[in-house]
Amino acid sequence: MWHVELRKLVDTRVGVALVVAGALLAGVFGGGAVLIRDGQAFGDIARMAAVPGATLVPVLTILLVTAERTHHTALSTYLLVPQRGRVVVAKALASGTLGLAVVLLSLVAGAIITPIAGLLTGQSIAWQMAWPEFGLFAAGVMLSAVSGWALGLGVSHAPAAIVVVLIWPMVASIISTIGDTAAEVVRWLDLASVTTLVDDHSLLAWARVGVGIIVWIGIPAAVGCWRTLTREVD
Amino acid sequence: MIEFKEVTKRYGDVVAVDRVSFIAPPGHITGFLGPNGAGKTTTLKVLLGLAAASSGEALIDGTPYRDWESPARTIGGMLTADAFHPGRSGRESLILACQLLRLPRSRADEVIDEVGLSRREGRSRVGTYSLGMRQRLALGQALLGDPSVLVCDEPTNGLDPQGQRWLADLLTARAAQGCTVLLSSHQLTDVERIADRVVILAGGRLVVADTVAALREAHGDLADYYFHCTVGADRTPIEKVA
Repeated sequence: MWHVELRKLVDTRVGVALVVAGALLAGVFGGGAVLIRDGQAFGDIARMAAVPGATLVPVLTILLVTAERTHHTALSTYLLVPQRGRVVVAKALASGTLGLAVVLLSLVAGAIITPIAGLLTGQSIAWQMAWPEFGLFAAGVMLSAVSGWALGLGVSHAPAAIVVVLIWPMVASIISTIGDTAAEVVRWLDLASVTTLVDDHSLLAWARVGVGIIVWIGIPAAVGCWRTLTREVD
Repeated sequence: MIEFKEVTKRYGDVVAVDRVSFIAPPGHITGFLGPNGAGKTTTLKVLLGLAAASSGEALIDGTPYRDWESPARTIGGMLTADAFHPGRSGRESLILACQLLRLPRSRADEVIDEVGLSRREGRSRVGTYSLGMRQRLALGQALLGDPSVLVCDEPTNGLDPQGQRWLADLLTARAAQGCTVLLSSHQLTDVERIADRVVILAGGRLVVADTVAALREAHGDLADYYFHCTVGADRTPIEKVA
């Protein structure tokens, strides 16, 4: 039933608007990568093209979860599928799939923009990709998508969850400037620390990623699952 | 058959439903009556697995709703007209339900026709629907699996007189085909006209569960009996004694 949940992500006006905005911005950001800096490669363009989608993905996955309560669709959903755990898992799978789709879309955008930008700017844009870096970036996008699902479940309030997701990067950046200790704390809390694994394979680096996953996915998902499975549907 | 066995539902210290037992047999419409706050919707939520009973059990053909593998293919539940995403079309909402129930998409169109929505209305967003149209859509979802058990909570809300007559005919036809129909309603005359059995709840407790014929024979007018046996359990303001 994950495909039904995937369909729910894009079959409303808000869903369609966010997907269209993400696709357009992917082109703008991918193209912008070439204009802003010389010597960009296919991998750089694809990664820039993924930025808008990666930002919007957790918003969509939050809405996928919270809409059940906001619009009382849970009554319909759980009448059709009373095994609530299956619905929760299906939403998680759909969220991860959406993250993967954004990554694949960014590769397509990169493949389209690279030759066109080369012709328009006269630059020679290499078809190079640092796959380990991009792989970790993709993992970060998928984790971000799943964290939207978890926050939606845990917070159960779309505006609050969306605000948390969108302002966290700014908050993390501000906290990091306070001092070394604060910056270290942020490194332990930030899901984006998954990208550091490209250079740092230490146990400490993996531990940081694990803590980030526990904080952003594990804890809210556990709270949300418990509530979803036990709460009266209204 | 629907069977409630000593069902109790508590919210903290408040007892919303208190040891309610009754059956709704197949091939009959069972009217489920009671004032606001009597516990009807809570009872139906327990039946349909949307709320857990504090004690007792509610069974459909001997099995709790949540233990059915795909209950909505056998049991049609309609609790509210407002369980659809307003940004999604009515048809899309039913197609999603068809996918969950592993039914062909064409079933959504069949049901849209059956509940009296036009194809154009089916393609419109639910947010643009009137209450009556949303009731029809909710009934449509309940009918998707061509169920042998139908549970409806105040389905006539927002329906015009023609819609109410259409609904009464639909439920009567379903019962004639052997379907178990449990109909919660505030429309006493409609229930008296189409139901074979009546269950009255007041203050969370069962007041009576019997056939309409037996109640008429014993008490005369069903509406008068309803007001008599629910007195003090409704929200009618109590006149101040001078």
